[in-house]
Amino acid sequence: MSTEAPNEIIHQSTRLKIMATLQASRSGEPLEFVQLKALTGVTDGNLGTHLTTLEKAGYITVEKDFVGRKPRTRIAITRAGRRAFESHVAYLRDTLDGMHPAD
Amino acid sequence: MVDRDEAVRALQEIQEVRGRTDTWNRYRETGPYLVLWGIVWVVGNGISEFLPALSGIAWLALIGAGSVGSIVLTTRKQRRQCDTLPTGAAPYTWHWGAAYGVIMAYFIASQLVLPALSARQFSAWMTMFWGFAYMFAGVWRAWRLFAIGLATTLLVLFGYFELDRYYFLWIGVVGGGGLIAGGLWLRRP
Repeated sequence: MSTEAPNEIIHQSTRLKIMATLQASRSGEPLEFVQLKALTGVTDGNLGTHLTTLEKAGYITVEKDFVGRKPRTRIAITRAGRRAFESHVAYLRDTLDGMHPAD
Repeated sequence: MVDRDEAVRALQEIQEVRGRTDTWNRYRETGPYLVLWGIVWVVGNGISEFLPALSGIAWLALIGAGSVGSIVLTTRKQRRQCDTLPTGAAPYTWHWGAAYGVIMAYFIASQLVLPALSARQFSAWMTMFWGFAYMFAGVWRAWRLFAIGLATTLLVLFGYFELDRYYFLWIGVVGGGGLIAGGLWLRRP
């Protein structure tokens, strides 16, 4: 499961929080933007920027629709995103165990 | 390359976020059940207040409807979880059903042992059971559940000792209304 190199897209602090939150959300429903913002403690603009990066990598999906007249943005982790996150966590654990000595 | 200190920090961040999300998961999953049983409580106690002759049969029907509703909610939740669980994890397939059966068995067994309770006593006892159950569940990092349970229990005790008229309406509003409001509150992160 672990890789030889860290996943640079996921490893960035804010994106790590986003991926950890989405991965831990077990109800199966996508999270709304405001929910993700509250759970990660990230500001609107910052969150939007990092979501775009993760979406381009294929790790998350971002869907926008309307509930009545109110716009809604929903974010879900993809299977590829889940695998990449688990793999990165395994890499971090291996690093703690001394399996990836820093250069 | 990531050094050891950086790996520790990253894993700590993940742990913190997971803790927050787990708590919210518990809230979000519990919310619909609270709303459902809140409606049962409001309607049941409303009937006890205004149509006492129909109270017995109405409560049986309402508890049956609430039970079926709970099973439907649990089944839907488990279906969603099957598609999204982390690798290697398994949904709590039969556990919720078994837990529900244990609670129902407790109520039936209690009725065999306890002296006959008046409708007033039964209503307070039943509502407080759930109040304490929420407090019990809330002890583990879910303070909102604890607060809902505590508020419900205190309001039931107030009604039991202080109200002569409209007692069932009070129980319906504070017990059922509290559950509905609590269920909606739990959906907020």
